[in-house]
Amino acid sequence: MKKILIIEDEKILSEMYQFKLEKEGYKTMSAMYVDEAIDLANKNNPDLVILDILLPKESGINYLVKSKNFDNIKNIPVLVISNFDDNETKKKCFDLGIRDYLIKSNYDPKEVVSRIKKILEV
Amino acid sequence: MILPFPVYFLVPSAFLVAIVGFYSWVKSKKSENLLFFLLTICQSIWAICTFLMWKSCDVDINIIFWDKVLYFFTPLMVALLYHFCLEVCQVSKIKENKIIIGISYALAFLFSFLASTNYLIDGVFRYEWGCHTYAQGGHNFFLAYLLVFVIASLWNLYRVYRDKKVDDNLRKKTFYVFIAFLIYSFSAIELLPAYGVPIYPFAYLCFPLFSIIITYAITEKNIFISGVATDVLIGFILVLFSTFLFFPEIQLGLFGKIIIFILLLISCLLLLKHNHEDSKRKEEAEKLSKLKSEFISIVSHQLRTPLTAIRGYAGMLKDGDYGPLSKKTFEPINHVHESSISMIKMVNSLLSVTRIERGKISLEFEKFSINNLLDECIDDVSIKAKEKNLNLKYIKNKGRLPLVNGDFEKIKHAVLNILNNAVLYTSKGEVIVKAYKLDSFIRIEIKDTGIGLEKEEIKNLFNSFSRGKRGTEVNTQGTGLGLYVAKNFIEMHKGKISVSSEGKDRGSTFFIDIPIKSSFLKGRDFDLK
Repeated sequence: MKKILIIEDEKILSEMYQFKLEKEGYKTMSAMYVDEAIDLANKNNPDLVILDILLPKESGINYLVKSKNFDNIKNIPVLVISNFDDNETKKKCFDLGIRDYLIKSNYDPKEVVSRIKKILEV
Repeated sequence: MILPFPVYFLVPSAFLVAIVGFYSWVKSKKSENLLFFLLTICQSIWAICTFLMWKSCDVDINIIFWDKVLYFFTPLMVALLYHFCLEVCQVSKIKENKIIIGISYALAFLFSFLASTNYLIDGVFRYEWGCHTYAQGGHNFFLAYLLVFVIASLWNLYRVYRDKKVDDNLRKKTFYVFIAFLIYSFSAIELLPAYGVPIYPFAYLCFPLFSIIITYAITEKNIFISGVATDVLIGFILVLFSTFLFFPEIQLGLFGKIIIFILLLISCLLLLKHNHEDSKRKEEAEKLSKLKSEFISIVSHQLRTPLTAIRGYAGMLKDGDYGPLSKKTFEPINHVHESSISMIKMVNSLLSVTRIERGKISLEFEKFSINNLLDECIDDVSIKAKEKNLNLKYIKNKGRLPLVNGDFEKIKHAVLNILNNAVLYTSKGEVIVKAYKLDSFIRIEIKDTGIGLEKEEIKNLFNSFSRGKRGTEVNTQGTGLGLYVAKNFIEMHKGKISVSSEGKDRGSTFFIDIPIKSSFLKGRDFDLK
């Protein structure tokens, strides 16, 4: 069973993705903060990370930067799903190796799932 | 020959008045400003002819020639003054006034004609300081005409100024126009030599005084227009300097020098003041526009989060993720889902517009096939078209189309906005998409059999928040931003977007022309501003 880590501070959205992913047969875990997410990732070795950009305490970009320090998690594919729609941020994220950047409101959960499937297939 | 100094002041004043008149008309093409402009032209001609007459005081023919030209324009000036004053007082449309205005012009043309004969002026009168022509029989009638209409003009202005019921702006305007023209009318004293009375031409100073008052009123009190102070002040300083450059023989005396110095000082101070005000205003406007954009960005972002939840949960409910739905509950949930999507689209459009207006959009260039782009677009709208039983077709070009160098996402966004509209505003029939090469462009043609467009609608169609007249009747959800965004995205690629329609209910065809080679933009981001 593939594991997915959801880093998202909006509880109802986090629950929404969790529900849909679990229904599709994934195991999920969720975090609100970057450090918490790094810990979780280190412990559970997820197959994919869903990352929001605007998070409390520090930006989601910091997850991308910090995860580079851990050999076991630095290569986990990251899919950014954020309503923060800014070209500079997008560019930075792609430079840090993310697989895709989706504007949260433009996609139904099922469309997010199909993106995830595509990434995991490769 | 050195002329009395007031005569020299006629020339710079003529230019100043003409500049002010011209600016007033160019900046705001109201009939009042046009009349003012024509009036200033007549005044300038009057001033320059007077100057030339004085300049040629030693040759009789020349004196008579310039004076006749001068007398040709003076009656017209009087009629224009009368018309202009009534326009300022906002009473020119009253029937009786219209008749009097007509009479004043008719008399003006009569006197202008008489000026070319010897009935108004003839012969030369030379005196200690200068020269003039002698008044002839018709001159008394001309004088009467002049006095009646000038006094009537001033009386009209004065009456409006004294009327407490009139709004302050109009009173301010009539006040300055009254003072300026009252002073100017004293230059009529210079008609005395025509009757053989020699006087020093002090009265010509009324014209420079007039020009300064009217310039002050226009630039500082914004009586006809606003925002021209800097231009006019620079013009004034230029005119003043050139006068002394071209007429070095002018002897001002201490008094004259002090006046000129004070004038220059005041103009420079005003110029500095306006310069500061302008930059301050610009800064404030920029700050405000930035604040507005930031506000919209933040609001849009905040709106997106709850909308994501509404859309997501409604979508999952609809798909049966929370258990099967009855037909009765499916429909309302479907409505919630669809409405949330259209609201998200609106928020997205609003964000795009803010970015376009802030020049914050950059293009990411890549080579791609228009075929792929159109396939994706057709895919996106096919469900909607099927629901409406529309025949949506992409007729592929027979030959292979060259690849386009541009921002795939932006061009797709533009095409989708137009394609969505085509489907939305067509209730039966078809939507046909074609793409072909046209010179150095690839043209995408989107033709529908929908509600069509009237000529007037097409004019404003691509402006922000503009919607076709009947668009609002057919569909209430549009924001009027889709076509504006599309146009901007295509123009950022140096492309073109246009539309043709044979009219109401006869469908419309949109053309999107995308340049094949935009190599000069290659490799770097292209900012809109």
